[in-house]
Amino acid sequence: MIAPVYKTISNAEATANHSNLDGLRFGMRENGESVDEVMTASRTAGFSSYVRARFLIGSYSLFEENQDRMFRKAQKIRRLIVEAYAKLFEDADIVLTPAAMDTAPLMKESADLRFGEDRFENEHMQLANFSGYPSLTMPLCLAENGLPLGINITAKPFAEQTMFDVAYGLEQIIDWKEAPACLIK
Amino acid sequence: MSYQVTIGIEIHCELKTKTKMFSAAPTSFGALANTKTSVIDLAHPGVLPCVNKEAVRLAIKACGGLHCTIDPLVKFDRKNYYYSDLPKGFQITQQFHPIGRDGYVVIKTDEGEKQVRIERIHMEEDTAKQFHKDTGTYIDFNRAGTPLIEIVSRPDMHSAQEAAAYVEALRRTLFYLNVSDVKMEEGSMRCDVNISLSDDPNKLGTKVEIKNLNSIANVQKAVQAEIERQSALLDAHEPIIQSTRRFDEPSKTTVLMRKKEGNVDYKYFPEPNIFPIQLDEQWIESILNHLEELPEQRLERFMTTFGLNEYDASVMVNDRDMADFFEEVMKDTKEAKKAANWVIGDLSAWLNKNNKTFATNPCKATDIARLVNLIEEGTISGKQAKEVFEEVMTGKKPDDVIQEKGMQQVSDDSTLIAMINEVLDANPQSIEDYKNGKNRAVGFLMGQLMKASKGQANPKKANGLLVEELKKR
Repeated sequence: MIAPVYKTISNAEATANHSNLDGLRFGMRENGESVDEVMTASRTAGFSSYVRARFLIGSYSLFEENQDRMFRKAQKIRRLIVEAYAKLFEDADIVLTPAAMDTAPLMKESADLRFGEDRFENEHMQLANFSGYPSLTMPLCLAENGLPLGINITAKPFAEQTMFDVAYGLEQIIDWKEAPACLIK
Repeated sequence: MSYQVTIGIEIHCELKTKTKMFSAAPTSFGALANTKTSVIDLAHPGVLPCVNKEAVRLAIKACGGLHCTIDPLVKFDRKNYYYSDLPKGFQITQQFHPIGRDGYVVIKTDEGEKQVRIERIHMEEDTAKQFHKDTGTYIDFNRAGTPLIEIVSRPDMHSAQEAAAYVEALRRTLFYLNVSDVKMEEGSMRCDVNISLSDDPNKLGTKVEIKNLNSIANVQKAVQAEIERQSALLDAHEPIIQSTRRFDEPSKTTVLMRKKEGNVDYKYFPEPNIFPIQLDEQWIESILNHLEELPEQRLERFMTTFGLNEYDASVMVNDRDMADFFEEVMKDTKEAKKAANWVIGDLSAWLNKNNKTFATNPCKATDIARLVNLIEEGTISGKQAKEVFEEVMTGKKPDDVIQEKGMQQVSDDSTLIAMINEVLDANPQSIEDYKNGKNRAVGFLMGQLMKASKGQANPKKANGLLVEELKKR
């Protein structure tokens, strides 16, 4: 549920947020016979196909005839997700989660994950985007392959200080370069 | 054939804040191009908007003066489209939650007073300004981000006169409220008119939009021209094409700008970078309780407190600076009608001739008051006063002028009687004529008296005394 909601909202916002990049006032500008052509050419050349795909999807979800079942629906589900997430904080000041279940993929290993699987372990990191709660990720220990694993520390709204305090405290008791991975298993 | 005319008007009005709607860059007019901009209004990557509280305050004032219900929750939305004068590629506006709803304005028509309803008032930001020249199109971003209110009327107007009266009434109210300069010629108030004609009172015809009207007179002319154009087409059973037109002054007709290509989808969605703002009800109350006096209130007051007739009161109320000046004058005199005559008549005429307005009036209210009082006291005649006035407008004080020119009117009975008798002695024939019933003789003798006294005899007094002396002869 989180991934489609996140994608819908972020793509829609992104398409509008990046409408300022039209080649007219700054940045790269491609030639054209008219303003429309200049804008279109500049944006086509200036964004990768991946980004343009996201913009298209975002724009599509914002069309009047699509908003109810796409954008607005995503917003509603987001609210429900945040309400559920907020319940965790009724009994706790901080929620700790692994940032990811695995280390970062090596360059040579990484496939085109553009429209790949969404794994729960990574989706939970989008909860901070949805909720706006203060959230911090830092290295915790090393995995067997020598790469770092991270931990995410999230606090209640406006409790940035608590978040920093806990992160600092963890930093004092765990030296991530020395700590072995079994600590978080 | 005469058709049912339906007119709706949208007005965009620039709020006179010091800074932009969403940034601290200064608002301006006529400044050197692109010298009053900020990265926020130029939409550089990563910038965020910050709502201008003064703009919200002025918008609330406008809502109050136009009798709107105010929404205490301020929310903004994005209106998305690409255009060279729109830096962000979207305009931040209030599509779903306008700050004001269901207001009205009262206009005077031939049939009496009428209410034109206002559907909504919302806040938004202005675009940049484009200049089309032979060498290309130039864009000045000084205007981008200027706070605007958009006022949308309901289609309650049915003639060119009503349309002009609506724009006039709205302009006057906004000016009185000090929310905008409302100078149509400078673009701080812009007016788009929508008109449709129909022969069926239950159906609306095709809507045509007229834009870029730069004066109230042109609003009336344009609407009239469009009514005539559409009537002619309908008479000939030709279709009206939905389009946007402009008013061409030389030919006094409306001219096609562009055809309307279906409805554009602006993909409105809530502005994610501005959290909804819950306005404090007490703050709103205090703004509404401290509104400036509205034109209709001032008109009422001028008529009751100063005893002015509706015409004189209206003329002055329509020009707020003139009304302000009149009230200043009234601080030093009790003669409201006379003061109004001087202000509306001679003073206005002088200002017009010398390319000034009441805002740039060189004469002091106390001087006009003094002039009025001098006439009332009988020190000078109305005719002499006009001479004194001309001198006062060059910067002199009324009393100094009278002194200099020895204009002191003669009102003393004994002096007048002496002069009268001199004139009578010199004109025995006139005395005869009077005795024989020729009353014209009085007029002739008055003329002689005025000549002898170099125009300084108090005419009213002299006339009375003259007749008395004549009777004695």
